[in-house]
Amino acid sequence: MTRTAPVTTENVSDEIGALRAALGARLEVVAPALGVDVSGLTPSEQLDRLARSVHASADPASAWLLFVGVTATFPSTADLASLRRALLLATPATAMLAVLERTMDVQSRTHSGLRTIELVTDTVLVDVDFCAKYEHNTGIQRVVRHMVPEWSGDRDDRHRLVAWNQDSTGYRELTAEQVDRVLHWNDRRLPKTDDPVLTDADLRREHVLVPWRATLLVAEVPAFHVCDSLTSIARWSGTAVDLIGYDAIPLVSADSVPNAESERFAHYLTIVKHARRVYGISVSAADEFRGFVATLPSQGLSGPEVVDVTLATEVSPVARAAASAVTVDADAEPVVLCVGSHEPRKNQDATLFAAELLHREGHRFRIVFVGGGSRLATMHFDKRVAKLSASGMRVESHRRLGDSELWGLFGVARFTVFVSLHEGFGLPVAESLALGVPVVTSDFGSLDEIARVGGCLQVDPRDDTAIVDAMRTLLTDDAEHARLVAEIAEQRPKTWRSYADEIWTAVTA
Amino acid sequence: MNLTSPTPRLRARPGHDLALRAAGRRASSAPVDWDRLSGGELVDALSRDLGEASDRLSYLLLALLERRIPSTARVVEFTRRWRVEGLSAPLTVEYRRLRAPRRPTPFVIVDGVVMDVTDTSRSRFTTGIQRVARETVTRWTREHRVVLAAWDVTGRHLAGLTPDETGRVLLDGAGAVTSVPAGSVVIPFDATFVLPEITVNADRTASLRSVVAYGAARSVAIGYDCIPVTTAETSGPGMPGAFSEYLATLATFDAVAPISSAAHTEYSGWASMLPGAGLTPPAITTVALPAQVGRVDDDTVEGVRSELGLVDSTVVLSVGSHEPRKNHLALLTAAELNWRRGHDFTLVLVGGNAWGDGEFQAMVRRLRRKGRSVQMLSGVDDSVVWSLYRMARFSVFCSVNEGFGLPVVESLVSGVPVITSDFGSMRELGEGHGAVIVDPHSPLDMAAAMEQLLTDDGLRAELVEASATLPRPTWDDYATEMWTLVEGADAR
Repeated sequence: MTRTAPVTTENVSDEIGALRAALGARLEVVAPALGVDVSGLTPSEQLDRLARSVHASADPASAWLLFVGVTATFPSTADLASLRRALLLATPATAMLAVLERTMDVQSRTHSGLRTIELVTDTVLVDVDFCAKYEHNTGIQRVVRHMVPEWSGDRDDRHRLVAWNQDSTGYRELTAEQVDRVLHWNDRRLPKTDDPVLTDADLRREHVLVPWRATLLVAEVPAFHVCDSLTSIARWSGTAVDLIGYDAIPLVSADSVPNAESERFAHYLTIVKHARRVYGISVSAADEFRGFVATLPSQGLSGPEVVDVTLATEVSPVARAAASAVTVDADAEPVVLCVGSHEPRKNQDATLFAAELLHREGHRFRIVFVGGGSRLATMHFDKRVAKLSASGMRVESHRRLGDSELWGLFGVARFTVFVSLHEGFGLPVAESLALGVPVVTSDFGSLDEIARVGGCLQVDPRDDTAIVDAMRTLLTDDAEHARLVAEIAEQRPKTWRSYADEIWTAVTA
Repeated sequence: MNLTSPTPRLRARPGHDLALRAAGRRASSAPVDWDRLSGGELVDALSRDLGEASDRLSYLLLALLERRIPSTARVVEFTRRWRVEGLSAPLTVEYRRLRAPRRPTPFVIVDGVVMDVTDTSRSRFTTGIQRVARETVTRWTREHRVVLAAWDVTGRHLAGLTPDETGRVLLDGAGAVTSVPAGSVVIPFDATFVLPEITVNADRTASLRSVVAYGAARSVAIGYDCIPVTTAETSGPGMPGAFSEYLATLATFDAVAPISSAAHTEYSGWASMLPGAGLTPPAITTVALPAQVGRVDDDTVEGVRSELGLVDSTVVLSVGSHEPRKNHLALLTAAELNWRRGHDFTLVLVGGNAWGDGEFQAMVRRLRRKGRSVQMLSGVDDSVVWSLYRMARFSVFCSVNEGFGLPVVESLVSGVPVITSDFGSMRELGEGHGAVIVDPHSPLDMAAAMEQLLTDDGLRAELVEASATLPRPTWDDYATEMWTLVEGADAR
């Protein structure tokens, strides 16, 4: 049974005293930033003076900061617009009332009254929310977990990693476990645990990090429910917001992703509209963001600058070691490898069909698919694999495979196939090339950018015949295979160090 | 039983046989008397005569057998089986698998112009998209042959219209449409497919993709705007996601006709995102909407004026639903600033309640409590709207994004100045033709413009005069230009 303290005059007034003190402390933090002297004033006098000042200035950034000072939460776009309208209709004498009226809802909703705040100024805040909180490591997380650790050391005091607090109303410092997840993914210092779920009491005493005239790098695609607060920051707070632009797949290829993904992405695009810069992970991804930016004059906006900062293509020494540790049995059937999460966009069905056709033509090989996927996405494919396997074709599909087994497969593969219909970058192609294995891949977009350099046969992934022909060539034509391997040998993969440097230079420019 | 047959004999199903005979007649040039064949004989003859496996033919066979549009995934899969095993095996599987209804649905294969008027045929709305569809198709039917079709609720069956539905699409003065027996399934094949509507029904969107990919020789859509994805913050829940899917389908069309140059800016930007997915973008060709406005006589205007109690009032009018995008909160703020400065006027807001209008409603209540004169009207006749324009001192339409901005045109055609946004279609339509343009994100700027128009008779007179210069293309012009695009002089 839970025990509830009886409501008495005493504990109510304690509470009010604490709330008042916390408000006063927060206002003391924001006052100097707003150029207002509040020393020696009571919290209500402080608020009055700050409200008059913000009212007089009509500056959106000041209104944003005052909102944060009063509520210890970041305002939504609607809440801030509402506050600004109320101030517009207020007089100096009623400005404080307008502020109270327009922040009351939020305060009663979030119980944030006891929180403390700290302004983070002249620093690069790096939003690594998902990587900090979750034990998951594909696409975006791999980029973040490679890039951010490169900034440790000499750039420690110039950037700060942040995550959203549990009620998604503001930024907080990472816990030691969260730092470990972001900076030491491959060599963890702490045991893997889930983050504790905070109680209401914990949440009330959060310490909130407030970007103020700072730079905010949103290194991931943020969760749906923080998009609006981020838009508010980008649009009004005076902090420049930069984004890493991964792709526009949820918009351009909306037919191939769940509806909720597209919905979230559209709200993410609202942040993009008000961002300072977007760093596309490939020229193709950057072009997609440029296309979006080109729509904006219709609504009177010019949008962010879009810059190409292409991802690193190197693989870790661990991967190289694992790949070269396996021995290739010269007499065994050649191995064809297909890596990638299982979804229609990745086009595994076409690859499997091509393999079936080649098998029927009499070619002998072993084809291995690696990648997880929802049951809905994989059910039909798995049935087909089972049927072909029963008919004597050597085909396997692995939904869960450890990293070293995967690298080992690269070590024995004659070539890989990655004929995706749309990618922001195409990590599996880069990995295959970095491990010296030729690739059959698509002839457009980001995959074309990687493949053009050499070591690949390029096909139209919507043309089954082209895929069949390319795979047949790599199975049968040793000279062509050797030519591609030689091309790969000439390549110097781009390092994560240089990717991280390029981003850092751009963000701090 | 014929034991020498390579496949066990199929039990003939009359509905399936009708389908396969139609496929044979449509897609094979072999001298076969299709009516004499049935069951396995039909399958064998088609396997022999249809030639190379192709997605187009797979689509035709599956659509006929199922009497509905097959998904693209199903078409591709069928073609793959056809390539590997020959046509006979997968066709036999389908022939057996598909249930034969007791009374097979009739079907028509259509290779002319098919116009998808699903929403228009089911609603009586007289504004917006439906209006464009009706005005356009009505004019087309006078000179051209058009098949009107609508998707059923499942979004998988495309059917001819009932007489009632046709009546809801065609306006007075329409010619004849190519009639399809009501209840028949329409299967476009080598058709010219025209989509004058927006679809946010996932199944219909997916079926359209299949029709455009395999059933259409040419496909053209009208592009209204991309607002649900370019201004998602003002869109109701679910809309940005569904609209993204609609856009992904538009990506496969041959041409999209934006309704204004602002809409053109949006569609061109979007189109330039497509090559990264290996897609050839549709041709983006603007066909600008006409200045489409009704007229009312002076008596009607006076009648409406006294009925609404506006006889001695200075009327400031704003037409548009109360959704956040229309920016009514800024308008109310700007109006309040003017009331406070002592200006006397009645703010008349015409438009329906909408998603996310809670704060708007609350603010109207607050203003009324303070004695401000705010009238809200919704669901009124067009004649009332035209009358209000005529009696207004000026109108305000400061939306944050519009594909067209109809209220700007309505106001100016009525000879009434309008305060509107300083970008996009609103600026394009109004600037130099009687509009005052302002930053809609600044209630102060809006208030200043309102004050000028409330107080400066000379300025108002100048703007009224300028409104006469508004270009006024007609629906005839629009329909003609659209038809040219449909015929595809600029086919890619």
